[in-house]
Amino acid sequence: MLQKQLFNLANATQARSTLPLIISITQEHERTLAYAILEKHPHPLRGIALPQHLVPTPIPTFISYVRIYVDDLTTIPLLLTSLTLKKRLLEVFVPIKALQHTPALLKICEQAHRIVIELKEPLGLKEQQNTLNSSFFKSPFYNQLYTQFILMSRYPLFHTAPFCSIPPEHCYEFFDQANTIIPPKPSACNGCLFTQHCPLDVHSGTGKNFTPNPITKNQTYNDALIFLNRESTNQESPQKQESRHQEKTTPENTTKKNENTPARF
Amino acid sequence: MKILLLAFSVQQDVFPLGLHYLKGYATKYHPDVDIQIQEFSFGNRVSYETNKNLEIQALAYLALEKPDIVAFSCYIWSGEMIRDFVRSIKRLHPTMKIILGGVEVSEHLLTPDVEFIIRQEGEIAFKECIDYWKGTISKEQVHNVVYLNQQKSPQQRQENPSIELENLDEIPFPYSTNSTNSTIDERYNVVRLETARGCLFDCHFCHYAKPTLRYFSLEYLHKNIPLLFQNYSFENLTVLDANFNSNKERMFIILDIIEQQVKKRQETKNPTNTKPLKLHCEMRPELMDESTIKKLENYSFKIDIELGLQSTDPVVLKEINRPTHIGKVAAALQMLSASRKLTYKIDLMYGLPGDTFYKFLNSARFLLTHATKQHKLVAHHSMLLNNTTLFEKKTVERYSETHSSMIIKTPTQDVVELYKTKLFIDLLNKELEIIKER
Repeated sequence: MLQKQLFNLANATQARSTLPLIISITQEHERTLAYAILEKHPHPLRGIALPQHLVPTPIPTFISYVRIYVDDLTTIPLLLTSLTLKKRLLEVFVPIKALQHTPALLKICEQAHRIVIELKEPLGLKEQQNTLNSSFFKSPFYNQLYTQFILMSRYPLFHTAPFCSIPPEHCYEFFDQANTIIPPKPSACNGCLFTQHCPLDVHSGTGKNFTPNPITKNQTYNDALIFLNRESTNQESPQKQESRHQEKTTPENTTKKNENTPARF
Repeated sequence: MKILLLAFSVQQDVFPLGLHYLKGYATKYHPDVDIQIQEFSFGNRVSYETNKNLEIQALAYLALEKPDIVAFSCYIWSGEMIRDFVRSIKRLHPTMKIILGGVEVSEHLLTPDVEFIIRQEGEIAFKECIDYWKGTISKEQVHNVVYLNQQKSPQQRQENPSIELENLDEIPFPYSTNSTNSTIDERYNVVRLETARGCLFDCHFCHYAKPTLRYFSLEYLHKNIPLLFQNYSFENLTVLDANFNSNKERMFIILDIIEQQVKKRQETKNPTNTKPLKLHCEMRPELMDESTIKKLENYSFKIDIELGLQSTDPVVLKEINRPTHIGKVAAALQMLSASRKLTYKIDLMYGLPGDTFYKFLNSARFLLTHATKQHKLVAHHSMLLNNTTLFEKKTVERYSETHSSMIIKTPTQDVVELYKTKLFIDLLNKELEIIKER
């Protein structure tokens, strides 16, 4: 996907005019100011990212991108219908918890152009084994989810999945490095080719119980690394830049990237 | 003797150049033979049509016209249906003779219903088929054909020697007359011009390089291109040459001829022939330079350039035998993107031998970075075409055993990854569409 700047309201004025701008909204009163900033932003791809319960209808037509963090799957179809415009991209982040018993429920979101399954929150003790362990992508549950994506003709995307839990190219962060904070990695990740790109955080959410399985096959992933290493860091979100400054500089958590190559992609 | 040259096309306003070549060449030697051309267009038919209305229409036409011989031109979109169509003809008209040809013809179509399959170039072969039916030569003397020897039991496949036209100028120019009663034929929005056959390169997925590289002479083009403009009214002229800019001097001579005709057309102010012209051609990006671009911009007609890239990955390019200088491609795209007048389209292919999803991503990134005027990622699912080196190598699987069709498995990719690539392209293009439209 094309590189975007995902900023909160406080930092949105720092956005580069030549790149898409998405403003993250967490409270209702932020919408008005976000709209004011976005209306002046010159890039045609400009939008908002917000929880479902904060999504207003209608949304101004100059908003060409809406990311919805789903909190009620049953009302999503009506919401998406009301937001649909020819020149607008709709993206939904669906918590995996909403799909745990019925992966086919994913179809409810089919009006969205992009569907991302969010793995940030734990399912529960019993289901924990089905998510975020090193053989998640071999599990029937993952396969059922993947099948649903294929049936809906949607590219499979998962958010907050360690790169060793599913094919890296199914990780949303694979395509969104500029907005992805790379946490320090445990020693269990030593030798992994993707430590500087993977979102695994062993201190939060389902990452707490995750057992890494370092990816070491350079031959298989050499081209993936070429792709990732050409992402530009001079378009990092302020949050990410701040996060990098706060990290201790150790070999485990150094996030060196090529800062010279601008890329739209 | 009455012969019908028949094709099923996807667009009805495109001049059927190949069929006119066959007719023109055969008529030169057999002016007494009545040769007609008829195309039936699928148009927007995208779903499976139980009633086969187009096929029934074509069969009804044949029943009324009653040709002695029907010759089909097979394309990717018609190859699958031709076998059943041929069978139907023979059930209705057992004595009607059938010839199959075209770049996508396959020997799997060789059944007792078919007299000849013409492989490779058709002009000499088609003319010699008529010689044979007139009794002036034997079946074995017809070049470029495969047929079943009906006199042997079981019937044996016979393949006759190949031949190519050494001098392309021997082919009568297909636009030298028009078959309508009016001065100008307005039926076709798109006309095609061949100034060369064959290709300098030999990419394994393509069959452009199968015939020897030959050129229509500049004298032939000087003499005949004016007839195209005199007899036909059209908006789009496609030059079919694989690498139109491989000889720049020759390319500009041809473009100058076209420019002369465009200006003449504007001066006559004929209301039926004043449509602005758009010229489409294929060029090799590595051969682009600033002076070429400046000269192309000076023409009064629009020029749309198609550039094939397919992949930027050296492993993939080696597997498909396509030498590419990526740096020069990038430079060409920069120059073309800066041009205010010229438009271009540059394509990728996915599912080539040696390809992976990650390699494709890197190729896609290259295009997005450098082809800034193209607000879309154009990428095609690789097809395994009959009559290509890749087909002969048998390293990849395709959808249909007999017909040119999509690749479904390679040594490095399975069908899920191939479909996933398509989904990714759709995803990316949705964003690009928004940027373009706003």
